[in-house]
Amino acid sequence: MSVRKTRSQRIAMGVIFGLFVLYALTLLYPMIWMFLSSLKGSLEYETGNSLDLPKKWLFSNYPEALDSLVVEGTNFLGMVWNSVWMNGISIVLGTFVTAITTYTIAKLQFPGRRAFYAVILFMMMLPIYGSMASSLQIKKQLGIFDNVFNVLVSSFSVGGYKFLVLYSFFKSISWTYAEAAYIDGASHFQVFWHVMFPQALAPLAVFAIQDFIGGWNDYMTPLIYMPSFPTIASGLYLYESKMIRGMNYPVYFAGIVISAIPILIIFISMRKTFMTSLSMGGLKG
Amino acid sequence: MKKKAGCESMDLGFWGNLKQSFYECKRKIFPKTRKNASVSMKRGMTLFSYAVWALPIVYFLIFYVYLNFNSVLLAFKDINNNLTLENFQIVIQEIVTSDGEILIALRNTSLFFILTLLLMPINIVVSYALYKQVWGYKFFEVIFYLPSIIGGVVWMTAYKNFIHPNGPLFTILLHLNVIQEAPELLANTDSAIWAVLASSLWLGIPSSMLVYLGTLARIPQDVMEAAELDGVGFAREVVNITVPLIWPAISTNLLFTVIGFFSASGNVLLLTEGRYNTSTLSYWLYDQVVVNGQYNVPAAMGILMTVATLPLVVICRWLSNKVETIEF
Repeated sequence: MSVRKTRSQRIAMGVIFGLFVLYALTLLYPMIWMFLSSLKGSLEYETGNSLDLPKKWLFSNYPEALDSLVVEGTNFLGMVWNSVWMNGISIVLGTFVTAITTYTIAKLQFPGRRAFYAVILFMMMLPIYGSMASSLQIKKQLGIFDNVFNVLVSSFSVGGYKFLVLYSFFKSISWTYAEAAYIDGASHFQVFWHVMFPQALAPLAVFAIQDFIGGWNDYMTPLIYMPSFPTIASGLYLYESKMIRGMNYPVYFAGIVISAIPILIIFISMRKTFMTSLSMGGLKG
Repeated sequence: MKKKAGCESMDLGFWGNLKQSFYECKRKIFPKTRKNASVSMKRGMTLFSYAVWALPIVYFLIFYVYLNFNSVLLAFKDINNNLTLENFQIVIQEIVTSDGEILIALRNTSLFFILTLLLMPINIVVSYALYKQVWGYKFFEVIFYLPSIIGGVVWMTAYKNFIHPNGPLFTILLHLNVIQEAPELLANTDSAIWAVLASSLWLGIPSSMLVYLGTLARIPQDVMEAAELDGVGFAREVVNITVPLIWPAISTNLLFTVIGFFSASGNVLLLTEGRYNTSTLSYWLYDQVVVNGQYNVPAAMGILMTVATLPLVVICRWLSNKVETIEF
């Protein structure tokens, strides 16, 4: 902006800059401290001064974390694998289901379309509490508790903000290409798959990345519905929760640091896409 | 050599040829009338839509309609499936007696709710300063985004050990003689809930940053420039121009915070597992169902919470219709 800033404005910005530096430090320093502690020996960590640098940089804690962090018979790589396949299934299937159902509501005419839309909005507006008990009971009765079917079935839930964003996105796409495809004899599915879906790839990719990050960090859902399949998040929580005494903290920290690396890599390599989601995340009345 | 589309000499490969001849056969058996697009467009549209929706509808019927019906049944039954009002009595007893588990959870839930409300103006100021390109804003944008992308388990492991009596925080404070003895903040009934709240405050300062930044980015530049040329002060610009322009984002956030009152919670599981009076309503429900395997009392509690939310939803809807939004 070419307009010069007033004095009070510059002072305000200066104060905010100072506060931002302090706040950024409170975010970064504990992380750096945890990384440094992950290189210490177990005894050194327990008894030494926590501010000291490691006496000997024990990078061997990292391979040891892969071996020794075992929860319910699942080792570290097993937890990573559980996170990957669970998220993989629910992202691929869930994205497809959300995209095609939202598309039919936004673009096609069929009886009940408005009712579907109204029900989805109603579900968003009214939070229902305490349904976990009922949900667990039903899933156990149907035999989809604690197995792959739980992940598959859950992908068929449609609604939430993804629905709203995609709905307005599909509404804004021109119908001309679809019409041309219909004239050429394309079926409804072909129109969706070859004409509409490719155009929606940008927002869908953002959702997929958000879902992956959310799923990678989610410890609650696996803890409740997939207890035999500890993921990287639920597994690390369980390991610590069960091993209060005699835990090798530096090795555990090493595991924690490894668990954050994929997310950081995705974040750094896809900052552009995140900035796309920045303008998409904006709400307009 | 250029080939015309649809030319017979086009090499489609084995599968392509097979597909082509299949289509030709089909064409001969069912000759297509290409009168206009709308005929072929409308044909089978309802069928296609319902085919697409079939499984999501089944999911909805089981995991929304029947699930909530089953919740009500659970709430009015005991373990042996006999009808009873006992579950509600237990809940009410836990609310009215001081030191009742649910009463403490309700108090803590309110504290987390208040914290979320207090954080909202801070969130807006943080986003606004980034939008105004405070010095180093690109760096801050990346760092402030970390709480949303790095998992709670990672942050809370760092937090828990950082404020541990042997951790860096108290090592520094002891060294500076600010305190004489390092307390166990998370293992103490007086301080534990405040330590859990502090963790939410710590990570919550830049939350909703993306939403606000996205909305701010859409404010037309000429509005801001005109205001600055007119010599509008910093405070007035924020109060009279920026806030009204991003009001839709603020009110939506506020709306979902208010109707989600009972779900307000923090990192209770990761920090204290509900000990030292740190339980919230959502944690209490989790603890009862998953840890204790008790379904009936939580179902009753859930119904009470949902019913108590209904007036909030109605009031919020009414309010959001009252307040005019500015289109830009």
